[in-house]
Amino acid sequence: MEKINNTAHRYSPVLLCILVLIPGTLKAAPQQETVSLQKQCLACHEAQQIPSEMIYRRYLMRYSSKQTIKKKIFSYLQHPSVSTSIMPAPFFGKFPLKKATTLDDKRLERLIEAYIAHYDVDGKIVIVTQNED
Amino acid sequence: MFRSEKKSLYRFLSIYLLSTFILFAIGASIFYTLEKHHLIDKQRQMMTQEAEHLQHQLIALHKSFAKKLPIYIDPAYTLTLLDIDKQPITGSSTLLKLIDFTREYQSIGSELVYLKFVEPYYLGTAYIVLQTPLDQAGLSQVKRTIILFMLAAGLFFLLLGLFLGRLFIAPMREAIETMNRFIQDTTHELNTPVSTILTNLELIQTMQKCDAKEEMQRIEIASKTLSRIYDDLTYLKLNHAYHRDIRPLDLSSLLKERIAYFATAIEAKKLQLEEHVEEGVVLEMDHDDALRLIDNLLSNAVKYNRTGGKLRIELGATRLVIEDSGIGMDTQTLQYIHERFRRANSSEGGFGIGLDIVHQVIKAYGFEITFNSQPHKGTEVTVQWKK
Repeated sequence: MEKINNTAHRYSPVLLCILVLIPGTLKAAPQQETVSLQKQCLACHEAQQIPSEMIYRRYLMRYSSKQTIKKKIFSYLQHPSVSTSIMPAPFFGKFPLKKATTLDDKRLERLIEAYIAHYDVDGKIVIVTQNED
Repeated sequence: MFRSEKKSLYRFLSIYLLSTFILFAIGASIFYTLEKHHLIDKQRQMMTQEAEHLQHQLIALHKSFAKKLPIYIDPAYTLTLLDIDKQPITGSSTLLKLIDFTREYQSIGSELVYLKFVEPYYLGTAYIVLQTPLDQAGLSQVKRTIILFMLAAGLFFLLLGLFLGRLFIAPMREAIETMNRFIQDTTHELNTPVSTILTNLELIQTMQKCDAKEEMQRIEIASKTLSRIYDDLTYLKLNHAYHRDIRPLDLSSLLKERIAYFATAIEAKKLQLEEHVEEGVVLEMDHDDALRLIDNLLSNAVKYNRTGGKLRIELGATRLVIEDSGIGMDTQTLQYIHERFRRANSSEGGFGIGLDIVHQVIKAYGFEITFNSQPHKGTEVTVQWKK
């Protein structure tokens, strides 16, 4: 019994470090993607005043499914054209057509996921019963 | 009211009320189903309106880029928004796995579900799922109405049935009354000559003036039989208005007296009489009832016995047993033998009223009667009472 207690005592600082670091690491990954999204996509969109959220809403309205939206954005970013864009043709009279991405597929997928997570409405919709007004 | 009248009235009422109840039950079932559908339709209509209202809100919210997108809903409903992959966007109905996405309206358990397909997909919403409990209060109200209606209708039709039943049995009543009048008149006319014959017979026997004893015996038996028929018919006629004079009755003495009365008939049929009569058996009974009970059982045991047969009469504290070795009865005959005008064997005389009288007496005093009979072997009748 004493031996077990000593062992637990000996490894307790290591266990403490693991417990502290794991949530930090898990939290860091999405944060990292958000930073990348800001750097790789949104910075340019903001500079050119491209309405990113409105673009996402158009995707939502047409496809509804997150998986389909992801595929459609992925396909567009690899081969951008006015005809395959979710935005109407006059949009490109005001904003330039994007060049094909140079990012590798995995990175591009992660960034699209971050884009969807950033602008998604799931967490924003609140159901309010009318007697709660 | 006569027994047969009562029987006919009860039969008529039971058929009438049963058929009316079945008819009303079918009607009530149809009414309940229609009312239920009406209530559900009403709820569906309200759900459709609520879903329309929600769709308008979705259209408006789709253009909003605020941090919170509130959707206002009636508290009677539970809302779930689903994307085209049927994944929840907001809300989470517990019935999602049970929903049939090919049907707009559906009832799942006690819940009513409305599924509205939305296109284009504002805020990504492809399905608006509204859920609400079935209007149980409304259904309970319908059930209460049906029960009250059934009770009121039941009472009305019972009274109507009684009225119709009396009309229905009126001809039967008239026929019975006519028959009773006939019996009354006949018995009245029979009484005087039968009494005269019996009195004179006794006189002749006392004075020992006649040598033809056998012939005299036959006349005596025939006269006594006539006398008993007269008594039975009078009993039956007066039965419905009969006032019983119930008092302690020495059954042992009465039975011995009646055995003596039947002695001539027993002797004529050369029956071996086994008599075990316990002394001092006293019952609270009307004298005429006891007389008719004993006479009819003894008469049957003698009448249906074979010549030279056996007649066992046993009286104990709790029962009277009369056993003969006569023609006996099969089980089918035993089922209806107590009915009036039934006879075990039509070759013997009588009107078939004997066991009907026995049955009436047994019923009036709460006695029990059992027939143990085998065709061509004999019958044992046991009358049991509680001491």
